[in-house]
Amino acid sequence: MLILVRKAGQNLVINDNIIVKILEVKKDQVKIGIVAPKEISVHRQEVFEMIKEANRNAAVKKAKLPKIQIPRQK
Amino acid sequence: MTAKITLQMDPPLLGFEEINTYILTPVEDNPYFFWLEAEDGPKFLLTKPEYFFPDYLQQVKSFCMSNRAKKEEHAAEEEPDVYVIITLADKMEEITANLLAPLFVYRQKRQAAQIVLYDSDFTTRHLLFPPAEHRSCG
Repeated sequence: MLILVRKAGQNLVINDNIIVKILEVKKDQVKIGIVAPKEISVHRQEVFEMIKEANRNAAVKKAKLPKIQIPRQK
Repeated sequence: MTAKITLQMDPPLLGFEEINTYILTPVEDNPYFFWLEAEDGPKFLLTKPEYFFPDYLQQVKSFCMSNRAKKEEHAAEEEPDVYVIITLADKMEEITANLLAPLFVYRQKRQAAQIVLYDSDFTTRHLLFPPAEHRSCG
């Protein structure tokens, strides 16, 4: 892992098309801005994992399909 | 209502990174639900949030407006149809919808993407049929 020290107002460039901006540092929080091409997705890791898990849980198992009753509203 | 449509998922759904093409179809005989299915891949049950979560669409819209980068990029783009992914359960009252990460469908472009509503109070598991509602409809 590459470790760099930066101050608020300083940036990092990754692969010449992604800029990571350190916007603000206060106490134990860092505010970061990311400028990246549209096809680069940026997620908070804990949310990323949560959604991954939610999607996997939501996938309907094909073998089970005939038994599943689709709920009707009211 | 709308018929079957083939969609490119861009970016792919988290957890299903290798799958790009899905088919969205209305569930037969039930106007509230839709199937999102990949050939040789996963199948998801979707609903439109307005049927079950009346205020939700407005909140999604204000999220999109406040996300300035998105606004600029999508300024000229069509307004997406918003769907939410359902997680089925054995008991009907345990069925949930993922309101944290809705699915935006751009019909004209035949594209879809799962959007994360950061800094919202939504979770991946909202009850579709909350108990209170059950009681009130006897």
